[in-house]
Amino acid sequence: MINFDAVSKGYAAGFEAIQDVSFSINAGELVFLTGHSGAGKSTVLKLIMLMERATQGSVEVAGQSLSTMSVKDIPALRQQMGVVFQNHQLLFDRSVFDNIALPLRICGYDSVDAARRVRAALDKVGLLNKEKFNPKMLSTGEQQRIGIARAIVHKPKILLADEPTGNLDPQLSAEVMTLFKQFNQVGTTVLIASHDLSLIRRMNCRTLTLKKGGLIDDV
Amino acid sequence: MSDKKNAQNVRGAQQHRVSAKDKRRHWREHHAGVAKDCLRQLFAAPMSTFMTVLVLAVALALPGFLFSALSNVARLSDSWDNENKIALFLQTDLSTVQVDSFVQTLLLRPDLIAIDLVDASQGLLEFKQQSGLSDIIDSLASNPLPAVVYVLAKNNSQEGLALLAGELKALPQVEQVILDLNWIKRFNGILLVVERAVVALSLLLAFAILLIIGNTIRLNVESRNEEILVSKLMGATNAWVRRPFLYSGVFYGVSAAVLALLILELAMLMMKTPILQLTQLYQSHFALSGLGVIGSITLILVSSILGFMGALISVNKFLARQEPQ
Repeated sequence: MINFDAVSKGYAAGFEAIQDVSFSINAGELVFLTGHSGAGKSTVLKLIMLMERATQGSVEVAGQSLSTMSVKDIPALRQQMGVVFQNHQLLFDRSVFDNIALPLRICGYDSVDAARRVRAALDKVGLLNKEKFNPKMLSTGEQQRIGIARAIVHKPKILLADEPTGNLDPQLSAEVMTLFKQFNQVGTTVLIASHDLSLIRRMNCRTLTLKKGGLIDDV
Repeated sequence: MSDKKNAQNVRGAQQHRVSAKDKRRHWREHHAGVAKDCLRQLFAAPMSTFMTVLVLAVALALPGFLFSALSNVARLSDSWDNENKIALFLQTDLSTVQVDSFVQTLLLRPDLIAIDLVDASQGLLEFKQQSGLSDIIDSLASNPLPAVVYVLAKNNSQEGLALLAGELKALPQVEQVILDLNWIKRFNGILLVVERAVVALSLLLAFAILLIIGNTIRLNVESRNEEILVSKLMGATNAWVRRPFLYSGVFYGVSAAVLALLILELAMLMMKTPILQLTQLYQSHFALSGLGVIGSITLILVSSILGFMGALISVNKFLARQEPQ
């Protein structure tokens, strides 16, 4: 599902975010991506989302090569993905419901179907009673769960998460991880970037470890 | 065809098939939703929206006003063009009988509509009344004025009139022909110059409208920066991101045009009475007309196109910065 082949990403100032990284994630896997901050975790996710293009090597997602992908094909690629952002990126000018409905509106679902799916997603993260709230009124943990509901509402093939437990206490972190595991069990490919090593150890999943831009471990 | 086959072959398919009719309905629903959203956002800040629309309306009303003034004046000069009257000053040595028979021959001409004879004594009488020089005129031994025949030509084009005037001048009874078209020509010349100036001014103002709407939408885009970035990461196409802003641009354009038409109508209303008084003084049937239906539709159309273009340029500039490096 996700293939990195000798991928490097350098920036204009001569800084190399990742160097010669190769790995392959099959459909239906749940994989952790770990390393200290600045090790290149976010860069790997950005390359998969095609927020950035690799300077060297080739990235392949869902059978498509991203290095040659034209700008007009990017939306279709991203519609197959769900992304949980580190700072959850919720929009505070609209309700929880409208936040979660956004990917469905982008993918062109009709309003009745969309409403049904939004409620199903809210139910899954246990916040069905909060649909009319403004996300501002919710706690950090709730906001993070709304972010997850938004990432999975359109049933993406690939779920990417950037430090999804960054602001959460251990108990909430465990709940969130359980959610990811559930999505993985229904066939979604999940890639989670996290530096919470104890949590990752407990999950007992395949883990890619980055250090200073290089892949040092894949177990 | 192939869709049908697939539907039969793939049993229990989970795939969600969308018919063309449903797609059209979704598309309409989506557009209606976007339009509603954009209206809601514009009305969320009614004062700033109104001020923007007002500025645009003034910029639109100015050329609208000038164009309708111009068309009114042009209409006036058109009615002058129809002035197909030619004055024939006859030789002074013609007798009354000769004048009468000349008038008879003129009556037979098919290219004249009406003939009006003012004979020498009648002419003298009129001159005496109008000039107030009755004493001096009375003291004249003989009538110095010629008989004058006013004819109305059937053909009222400028060339036709000039040709006819030449033809009439060649007649032996006619001393002089007066057909004063020069001042109409000059007037039309001036009108053409003014028209060009109005067109140039309108282009400048159209450019200003493009800039105003473009800038308004740019601020709007910047303030919704976060929403756009998140939407793009969720796979929103550029067209999807652009849509609400294009609607806003068109909304600005249309509402500004409607307000401009209102302003024009008000100006017309204010000028109606004085113009009526003026035309009565000149015993003319001239009536002031506004932009008219076609003019109004053109104004709305041009304005909405400007709004669309302004918005398009602004959003595209923003979106171009978001592509992956």
